Amino acid sequence: MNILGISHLEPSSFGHYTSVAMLDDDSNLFAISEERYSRIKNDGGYPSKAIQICLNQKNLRLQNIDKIAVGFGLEKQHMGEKIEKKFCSYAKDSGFKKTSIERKNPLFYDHQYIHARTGYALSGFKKALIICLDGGGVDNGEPNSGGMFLADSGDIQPIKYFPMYHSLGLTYGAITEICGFTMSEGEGKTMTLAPMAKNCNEEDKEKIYQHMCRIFPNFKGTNVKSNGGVTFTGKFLHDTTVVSVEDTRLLLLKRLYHKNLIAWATQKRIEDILIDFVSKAVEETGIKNIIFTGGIFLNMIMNMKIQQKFGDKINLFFNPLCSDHGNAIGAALEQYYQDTGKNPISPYMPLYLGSSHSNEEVLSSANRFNFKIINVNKIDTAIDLIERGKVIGWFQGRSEFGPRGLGNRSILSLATDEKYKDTVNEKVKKREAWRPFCPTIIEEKSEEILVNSTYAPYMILGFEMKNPELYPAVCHVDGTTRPQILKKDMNPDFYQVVKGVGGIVLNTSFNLAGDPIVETPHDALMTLKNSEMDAIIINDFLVEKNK
Amino acid sequence: MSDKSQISELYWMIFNEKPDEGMQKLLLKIFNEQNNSIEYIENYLRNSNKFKKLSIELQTELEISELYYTLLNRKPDTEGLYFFKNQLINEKKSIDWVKESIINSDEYKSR
Repeated sequence: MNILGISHLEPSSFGHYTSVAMLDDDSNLFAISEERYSRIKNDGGYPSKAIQICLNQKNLRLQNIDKIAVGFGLEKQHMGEKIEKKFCSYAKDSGFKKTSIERKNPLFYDHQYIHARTGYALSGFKKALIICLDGGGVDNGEPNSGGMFLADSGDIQPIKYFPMYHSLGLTYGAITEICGFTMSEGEGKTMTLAPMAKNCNEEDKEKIYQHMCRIFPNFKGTNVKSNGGVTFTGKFLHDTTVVSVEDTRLLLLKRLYHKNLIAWATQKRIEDILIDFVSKAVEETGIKNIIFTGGIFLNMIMNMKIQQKFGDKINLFFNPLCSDHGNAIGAALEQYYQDTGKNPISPYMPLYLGSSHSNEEVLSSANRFNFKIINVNKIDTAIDLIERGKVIGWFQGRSEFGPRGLGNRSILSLATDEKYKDTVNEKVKKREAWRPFCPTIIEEKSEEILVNSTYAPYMILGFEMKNPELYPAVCHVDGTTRPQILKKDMNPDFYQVVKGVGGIVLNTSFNLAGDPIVETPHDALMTLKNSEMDAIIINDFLVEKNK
Repeated sequence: MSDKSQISELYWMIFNEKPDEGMQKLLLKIFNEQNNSIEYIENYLRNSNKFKKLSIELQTELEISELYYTLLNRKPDTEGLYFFKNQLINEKKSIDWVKESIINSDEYKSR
């Protein structure tokens, strides 16, 4: 049984993160986002390239695919128009035969439900409450901005869906635009801008926070009750307007306050809402395992606050595939579960789910560039270069699925001097100077470096650092960091490199600002050409610019 | 974007008007003296007397707008905003008075 999972919102102007996953008979999972091959960041177009790459992995054709599952539900009002047909005819426009996909009768699974499936499958929990929050989706034919689910022994039951006008994702996104960034792309910048307000006037902080309390959807009216299983009752107490960039209140805030303060108040408000929300869920249901999924939970600092508040009382899992690209995998997993009653993936699985490239491919690509290329011991060479203060690209094995470079498509440098942060921001990635970087820390070293360290392999959870001054290149102004904690068996070669440079390294995704993460050797070489990176190590080769 | 247009854009964002020629020159001079820091210019403008005066008006508009969104579920119309702003600033009415007025309106009652 070959299952193709697709995350693609079409027809719609809101398409983003289009992705495809393929799950085969032997539970092998291959997954890739369209952006990696189209080279358009957050590409929301039809995934023609991603589908072809998936099929190529096992020399399959579309006719060899048994089932196609889509991780976006359909609105009732559009069902009559047969969105499926539009979906399929769009495929035809992209070079696929219309009937190939249409004959498969693609199944459209509910959106938040698929977010829930993805998080549940990765968490390893048997019974859990799943809290799903994002910009918006469709379940049961109705738009929503999230939901709560109860999962037990494989089955997932919805408890409650939240209306669109309570969309935390859209509210945070609108404020992201007010801060001068782009919605659906720049939310991470708003999050990292927030601590930059640390020296702002306290009176201003209090004032703007009170404004944010009135602007953000108010979850104080929620009431979570245990009733045999779990029910979720109560009304939300707030206006019924979706907050947008045209909102008069936001436009006035933009004139009144510096963007750092706006970001600070926004971040604090969303943290407080979630703490309040989770408190109620925990108190009323007595549940011991909670999974957080949906794009809201890309907010690593909010996740950190939740972890700090509840982590010693209950088991928490933050889904690294929480944004919409993860729904390609979720849709395939749901289809597999429907067919077999099983979960084919293991808890905390590595996310190296994309393509790999042979040494022959590397050499062939390198021939097109005027670079020096030599065969080396990659681990020793990487350690030597990093220790000598170089900034290097590290390209090995299968690419990571999702927005983080986790040691197969990464840019690496020392974490122990702030100058590396400045160099990577200004000369390599070409992005804003204030933006922080993440570290990779080997598991054995994590307790020494992090406050309340817990296993966090995906860069989805923030931590406070015990001695921020020791690692200024990977510590933000508020003393927090967003690490990948690396176990040896997760990525043995990368582990050796990190261990070799002291157990901690600056690790940022292998791309320039505005570009998707590199997928192929050609992409990596282009990045070397277009930046001031010192060298890249691709497979067994060291590649440097000719001086 | 040129230095001049960067500064003009910032000025427009805060004051909703273009800087006059003298102000433009002054801001450009400060910008160059402060290592081309647009952050410095923003702080300079936000600390000006012009902004302090404006911020009273903006703060008032914001409070009125919040009441409209909360009670009437819509943004304020120009007439309503102007009327209540005048009542608060010139007639020294309180924000509670504005709230009461909205609650007593036909629009609120018909919701």
